[in-house]
Amino acid sequence: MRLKNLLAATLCLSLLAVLTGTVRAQHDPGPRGGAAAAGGAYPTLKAYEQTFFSQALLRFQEVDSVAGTIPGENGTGLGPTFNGNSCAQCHAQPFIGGSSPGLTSPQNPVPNPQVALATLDQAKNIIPSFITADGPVREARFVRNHNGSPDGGVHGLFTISGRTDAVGCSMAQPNFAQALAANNVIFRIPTPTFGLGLVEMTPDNTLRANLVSTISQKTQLGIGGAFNTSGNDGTITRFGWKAQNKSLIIFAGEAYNVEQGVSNELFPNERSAISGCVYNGSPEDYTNILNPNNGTSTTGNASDMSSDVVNFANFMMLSAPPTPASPTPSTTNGSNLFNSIGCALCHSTTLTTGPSHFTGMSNVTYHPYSDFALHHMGSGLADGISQGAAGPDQFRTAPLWGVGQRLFFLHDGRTSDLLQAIQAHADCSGSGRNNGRGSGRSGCGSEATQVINNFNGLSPSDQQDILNFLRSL
Amino acid sequence: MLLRLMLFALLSSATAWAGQPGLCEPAAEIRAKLEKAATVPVADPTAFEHNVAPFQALRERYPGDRFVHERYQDAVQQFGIEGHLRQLTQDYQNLALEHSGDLMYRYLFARSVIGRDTVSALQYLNGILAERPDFAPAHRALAEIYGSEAFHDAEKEKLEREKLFSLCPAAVVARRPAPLPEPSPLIEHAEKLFLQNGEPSRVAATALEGLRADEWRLQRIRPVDWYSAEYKRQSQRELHAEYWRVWSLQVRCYRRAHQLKEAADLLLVMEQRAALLRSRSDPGYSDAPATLARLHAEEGQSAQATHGPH
Repeated sequence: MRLKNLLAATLCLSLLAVLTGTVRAQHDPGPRGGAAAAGGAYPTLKAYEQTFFSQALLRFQEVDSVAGTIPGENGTGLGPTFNGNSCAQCHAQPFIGGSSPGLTSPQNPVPNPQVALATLDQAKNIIPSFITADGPVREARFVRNHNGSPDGGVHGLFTISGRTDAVGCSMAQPNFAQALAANNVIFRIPTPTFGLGLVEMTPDNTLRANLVSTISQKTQLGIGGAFNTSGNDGTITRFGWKAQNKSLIIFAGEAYNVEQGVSNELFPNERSAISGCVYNGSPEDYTNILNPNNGTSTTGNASDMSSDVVNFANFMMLSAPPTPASPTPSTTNGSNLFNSIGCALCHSTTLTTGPSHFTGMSNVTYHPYSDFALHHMGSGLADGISQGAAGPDQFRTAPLWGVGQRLFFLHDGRTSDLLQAIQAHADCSGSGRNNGRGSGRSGCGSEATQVINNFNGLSPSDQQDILNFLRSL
Repeated sequence: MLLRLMLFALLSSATAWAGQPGLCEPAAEIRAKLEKAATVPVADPTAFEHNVAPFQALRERYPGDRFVHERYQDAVQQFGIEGHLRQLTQDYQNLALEHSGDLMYRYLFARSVIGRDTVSALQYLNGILAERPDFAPAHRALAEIYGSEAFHDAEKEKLEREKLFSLCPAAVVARRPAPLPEPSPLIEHAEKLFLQNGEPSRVAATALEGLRADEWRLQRIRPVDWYSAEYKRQSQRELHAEYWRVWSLQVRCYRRAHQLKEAADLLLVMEQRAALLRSRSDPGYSDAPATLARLHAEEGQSAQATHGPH
C-alpha cells in the first residue's frame, strides 16, 4: 500500500513537472559530429561532370579583392560594399556549400569570419553589434527607407574604404546602430546549397501536386501555402528564404553582386557605385572569351571559359544532397511523429525530379523536407520584408535536409537550439514584424500554430525523438 | 549662282575655323586661369576631388570653352580610377546629346574615350573630320593617338601632324599616355629603415604607404587600353610580390614591437594565402615559400634568443 502511494505520488509529481514545464527533459542534441554529411558531387555523375564540379568548387572558394591585386585574394570585384569575400566564407558548415560556420561546429569550429573581414587588408570598418565571433554570418536588410516607403534591400555591412587596394575610396558604412534603434533592420543567414540541382530540376507540376495532395489535412490544421512565382513567366521561384529567386544561376548572380559586390552578367550594375570607389569595368565577372589560364587561347574547358557565376550555379547544381545518419529506434519514432503531428505537411519528405541532362539526376526521388511554398509564420518570425509574392510574415518552408549538422536556425539565425526554433514557429513574443498587416489567422498568425500545439502535446520522450530525428538529417 | 553661294559658304566656314583665334589656343583670360589652376600643388595623387577641383570649378565657370573642358578631361584621366573615367565618358556623352548640333561637344565626347576605347575614339574623330576637315583639335587628337606606342602608325601620325600644323602652327602634340609614375621607393625605404632599427610602427606605416602608392599606380594601367594585357598581368604580378614583402616586414615589425599575437595572426593569414595559391598553382605563390621560410627561421632565432641559456 505504501509503495502504491509512493508510486502514485511520484507519477503525480512527474506529471505536474511536465505540465508546468519545470522539467524539460527534451533537448536539442546539438550539431551531429563525425564527418560532414554533405559537400561532394552528385554520386551518379560521369567523370567529366565530376571534374566540372571539382573545378566549380574551387571557384566557389575563390577569394575576391577589389582588383585582384592581393595574393590569395585573386578574384576581382570586391565591393564597394560587401558582406563576404568568397562564397565559401559564408557557405561553410558542415562543408563548403553549407550554411554559416561557427565555433560550435564539430567539423570545423571557426569564429564568424565577418569579424576578421571587417579590417582585412587595412579596411576601416566598424563591426556592427549583431556580428559577433560566436554568432552566425549575417546580411542586413532595412525594412523601410527614410521616407517610410518599403526598402527590403540588403545593405552591405562593410565597405572597401581604407583597404590597401582601394586607394582613394571614401565610403561610410550604413548607420546600423541607428537602424537597430529604429527597429528597422532584419537579418538573414546563408542558406545551404547542397543538392539544390534536384530542387531546380523538379517540375512546377510536381510541386503544385505535392502542395494540394494534403490540402484537407492542412485545412484542418489551419495551414495554407502558396508559391512565389516569377513575374515574367509565372513559374515557381524556389531559392532563398522567401523563394524569391527563380534559378540557381539567378541566385548565384544576385548573391555575387549583393554579398560580395561583384557585378556580373546577371546583375551587371555595381551596387553603391560612387565614382571614387569603382575600380573595375562592369561587369566584373564575365564569360571568358580567352582562356584565363593563358590569356591567348580561345578554347578551354567549361569551367575555365565560364564566368564565376556559372561555376557557382553548377557547383550547387551538381552537388549531392546531405546524407542522413543511419536510423535508430528513436529517430524512426521521431520520423513517424514528424509525419503524424503535421510537420511533414509543409516540410514535405519526398519530391521527384523531372528529366535532367546531367547523368543520373532524372526522375530522382529525394528528401528535402520542404514543399518550397510560402507560409505565413506569424508576428514572431515576420521580418516585414516583401519579396515577390512573399509578404512580410511569409517564408519558404526551410528545407530540413542537412539540419542535423547546422549550427544556426531560422532566417536570422536567432537560435542554435532546434527546440527553440520549433517553438518559434508559433511564438508570439518574438521581435518580428509584419508591418501591421494581420494575417487573418488566430493567435500569432502562424500557419504552424496547431502543429506546434500538437508537438507540445507529445510526451517529452516523443519530443526528444523528433529532435533526434531532425539531428539525424 | 547656287554653286557660288555654296562655295562661299564653305570657304567662309573654313576661314572661320582657321582664322578663329580661339581654335588653336585659348583666350588670354582662359590661359591665365588654366595656368593658375595647374599651379595648385598635388600633395596626394589619390585625392581625386582635391586634385580635380580647380579644373571642375573652371568648367562650371566657362561651360562653353573647349580648352577648359580639355584640361578638365586631362585632370580626370590623370587622377581618376575606373569609376571616374566612366563618369567622364557618360558626362560628355550627355553633353554631346544635349548639344547635338555642336561639333565641339562631339569632339569632347570622342576625346573622353581616348585611352578607354581608343578604336572607337579614332572612328569618332575621323567622322568629325569627314564633316569638318579643318577641325584642328581632332587632327591633334589623332596625331597623339597615332604617336602612342599602342596605336602607333608613323605615316598617319605624320599626316595628322602636318594637317594640324598647317592650321595651328604653334600647336603642341602631347605624349599619350602620360608617363606612368615610377614604382614607389617607400617599401625599399621601409626595409632599410627596419635594418637601421627604425621604429616598428613607422616602418610598417611607410611600407603600407608604398603599397598604396603602387596600387594606385596600377590603377593608371588597368583601366586604359594604352597597355597590353601582358603588361597589365606583369604589373599585377609585381604588385603581388610587393604584398609578400610588406606582409613580411609587418610581421618583423610586430615581433620587434613585442606584438607577438599580431605577428602570429598575420603569419597565419600569409600561410593560408600561400596554401590557397599553391593548391591552384598560382604564379602569385612563387614569392611565398621563401618569405614564409625566412619568417619562420627568424622566429626560431628570436625564440632561441628569448629562451636561450643566458
